[in-house]
Amino acid sequence: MRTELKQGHAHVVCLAGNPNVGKSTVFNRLTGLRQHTGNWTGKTVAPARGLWKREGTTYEVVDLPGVYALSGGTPEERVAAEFLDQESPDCLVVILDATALERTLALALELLPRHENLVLCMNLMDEAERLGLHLNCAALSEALHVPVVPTRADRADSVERLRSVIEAACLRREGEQRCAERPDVGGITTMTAAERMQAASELAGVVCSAKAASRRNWDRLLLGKWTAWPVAVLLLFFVLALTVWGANLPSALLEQLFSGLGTWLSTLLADASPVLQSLLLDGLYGTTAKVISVMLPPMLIFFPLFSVLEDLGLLPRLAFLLDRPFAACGACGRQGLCMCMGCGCNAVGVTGCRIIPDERERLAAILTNALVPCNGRFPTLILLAGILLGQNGQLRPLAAAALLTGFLMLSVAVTMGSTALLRRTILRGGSGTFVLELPPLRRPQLGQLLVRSILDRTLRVLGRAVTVAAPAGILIWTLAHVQMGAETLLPLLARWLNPFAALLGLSGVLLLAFLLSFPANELLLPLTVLIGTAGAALTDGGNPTASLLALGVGPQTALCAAVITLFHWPCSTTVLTVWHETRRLKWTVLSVLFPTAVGCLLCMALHLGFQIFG
Amino acid sequence: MSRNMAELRAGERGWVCALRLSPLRAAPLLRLGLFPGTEVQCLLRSPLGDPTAYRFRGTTVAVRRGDAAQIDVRAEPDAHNPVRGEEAPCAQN
Repeated sequence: MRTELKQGHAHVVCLAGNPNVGKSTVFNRLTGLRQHTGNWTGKTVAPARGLWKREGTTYEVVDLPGVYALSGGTPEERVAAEFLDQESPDCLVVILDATALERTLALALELLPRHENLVLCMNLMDEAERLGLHLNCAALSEALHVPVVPTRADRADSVERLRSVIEAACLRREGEQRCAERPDVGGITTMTAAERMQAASELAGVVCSAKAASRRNWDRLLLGKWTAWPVAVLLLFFVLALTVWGANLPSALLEQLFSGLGTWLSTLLADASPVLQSLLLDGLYGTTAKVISVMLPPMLIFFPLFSVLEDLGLLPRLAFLLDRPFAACGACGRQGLCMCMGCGCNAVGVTGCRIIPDERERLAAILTNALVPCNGRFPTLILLAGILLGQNGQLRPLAAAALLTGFLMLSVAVTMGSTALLRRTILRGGSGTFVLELPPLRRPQLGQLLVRSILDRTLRVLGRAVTVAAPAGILIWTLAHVQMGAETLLPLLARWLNPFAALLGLSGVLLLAFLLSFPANELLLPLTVLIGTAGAALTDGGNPTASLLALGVGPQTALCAAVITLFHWPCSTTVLTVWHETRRLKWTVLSVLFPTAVGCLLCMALHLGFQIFG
Repeated sequence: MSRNMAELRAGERGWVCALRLSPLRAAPLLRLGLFPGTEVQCLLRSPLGDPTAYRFRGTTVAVRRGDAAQIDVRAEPDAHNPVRGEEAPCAQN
């Protein structure tokens, strides 16, 4: 894709607009699958790029981060302003929200004097129609002397006209027949922000004739005094239950498939030396296959579900609910959003902390993000939940999901406590504000959502897991096969760790597995089985629950293991991300030590409790 | 008579007349268009009492009580400095 973008001459088309105006939908429809740098949230600071081709000409589309203005107050605004200054796009498309014209128009007025080839896209026309709004695009076009193209959220082909208008605008610029100097409409070049808003307001009054009918007010249920919390917990439970229940079968199928493939591979390698055969099959292939079959199905269910919640506009509402308790901890509700992202992947959660404007609050959110279990830890937690519930191998999804919800709520409580601790000690002082737009609830674009959540999230996270799983598989195989006296290294290391592990209520095998799964949390389960069985083949589709039970993991150990799974050092990718985000060794080291200390202390307390009362 | 924005009850409207916030705290609100003259409607409070959702310029925005208390609103639009809100200022107040 990169080389494709570099080849030959391409017209650069830039998309700008407020957050929550359906900008990424327009971007996805313009470019289809031909894009890279997917957005996790609308808050990715690096712009996403994509392209389309027509009649031998390439149009490269750059999706700028959503901004309210260009004054440079936020990282997104600086990125957008810098991009416009430095790359001077051939055409600048400003996306307007037909249902909130006034405010989205203010940005258009700010951008109008900055670019001579501007196109306005009046998005969400279908929603405006439903609200009984009548928009006069021709009047807007006449007032501002720029093309105005209406688009709809419910029809994918509605961007066709936008595409041809952009193409025409680009060609016009190429032919140096610059559009006639636009008159300085009402003196917008010299307006202050307040005057611009006033002008936008007046213009919106001309363009939009009717008053909006009220929307169906789901917020009464979602944010109501008595209903909000039960609905939020039920929703969380529902997502987890669906993930646990849905992942069971495909996981088993994948394991069968991989074990079949393993047999086939072993016939291919029949001539190789036994050591090489074992290294490649048991080490490399076995670990990788295990990671994929354990990780892929829950991700394929969890990520699209998460995207649905995101596209519906539920995440800002969660921040709205959580702001009060977070404020009590010296943080803000936006941290709740970062935690949600951390639920998918902690590295993403750490990057997502950019949405927190206050520097100290942001650092506290970064340091505590790993206290939320990421997707890679879910399989382990599900399995441990099974053991805790005494379901040997037979997982009852509802009970497991309920326990998993409990685990998550514990993690939220510990995150809040830790944030409060950090904000009262090393990150004391200065409290930021909390101002957050609650966008209207919108029906998600399901097709687009599926494609994007699979391409951008699932495959990316899986790819990362596999790249670490493969070398880790070789390392572990080596540890399992290098002889030290009568034994191989793995059981030896596990025995060394036994005394310390006992303090935490764990076994040496489990602790070693936790240590070795530093590259990726997804490795934990396969590692435990591997170490426990001292390096026997993994491709036999061994049941991890059975292996754990065979290792003598009872309910008490399982509980301690669950606590350590929730609270321990972040994976290597996350640590690297913390370094990228803070650029300070101090914070990077602390991001490892802090969650580790939390987990160890909790486990020791738990273990002590078991010894006294158990 | 002017009140502050935090005193608006759910459903009540007001017209912003002054922001007594530091520039740093006012910036995110101004970015969303909460200039003096803007019509604001209090929608609902978070179940735990804070923050509160306000509606202005066609969008809904959550603002904390501490910030809202520093924003003065009047019961009627200022005749000398009218800013048209999402709905035309009406005579219901």
